[in-house]
Amino acid sequence: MRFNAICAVAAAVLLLTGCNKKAETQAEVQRDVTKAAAEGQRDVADARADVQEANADADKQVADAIADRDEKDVAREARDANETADKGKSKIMIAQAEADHKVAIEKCEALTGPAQKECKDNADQELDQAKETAKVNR
Amino acid sequence: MTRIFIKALLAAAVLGTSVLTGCAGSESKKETTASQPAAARKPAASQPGTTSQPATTDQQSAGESVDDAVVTAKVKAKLVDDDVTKAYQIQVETFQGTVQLSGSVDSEEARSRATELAKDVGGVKDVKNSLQVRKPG
Repeated sequence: MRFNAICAVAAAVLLLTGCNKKAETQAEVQRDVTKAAAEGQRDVADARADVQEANADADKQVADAIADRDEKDVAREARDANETADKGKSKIMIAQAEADHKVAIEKCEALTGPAQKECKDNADQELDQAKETAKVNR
Repeated sequence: MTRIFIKALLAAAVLGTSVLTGCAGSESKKETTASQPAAARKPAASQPGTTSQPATTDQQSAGESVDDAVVTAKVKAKLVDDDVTKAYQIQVETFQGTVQLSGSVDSEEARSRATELAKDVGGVKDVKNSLQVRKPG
């Protein structure tokens, strides 16, 4: 009898915990959104720094080729520098899209059931689209 | 006993000073590096002809002229790589980040495409398009 009562209480607790996990409270969502936005901003800033460094390196190669007065080399290094810059733009676009995606997913946590799923699917779709655009621009 | 204590104290003082000096040095170095723009951090070897003369409003410093040369090279490469503009001999000059395009093309499309491409190059602040459109005939 005692065992059954314990089992019933345990089951009720588990059920309630499960229910709470499905939809987060407004405060929890807000906290997670803020955290995701901060993380995303950091990632974008890191990507920008990487791109800036790569561009500076590529420009240095062009400057070195100019100093060596080798026209063919200058043309090749300049083309490489343009390519590096294009790749960099794409990298930043993707980092920005991923940052937006993180925030969007956290916002979806305020919803439940099919609405939450649809919300997350839309966010995933937007990310895929942004990645595709970044690839095309490259 | 007192002697040992004094020795230990002296050693600690020397060690402490050297550690503190090292820390302060690296911090200030970090700050200097972070506050400088990427172009300014380029080693002197990559800037041939660099002089210590300050830049004046109507005269470029050697560093700027190298950067302008890099911009010119990149714009030329863009123009040569593009399907629309590769057919033309377009002259490119850069002064303090402003790119001047000159020469002639045979369509308005090629003229505006050249501006678009030049604007897309890193380091370009402005584009002045002096390209003449001359219809073949």
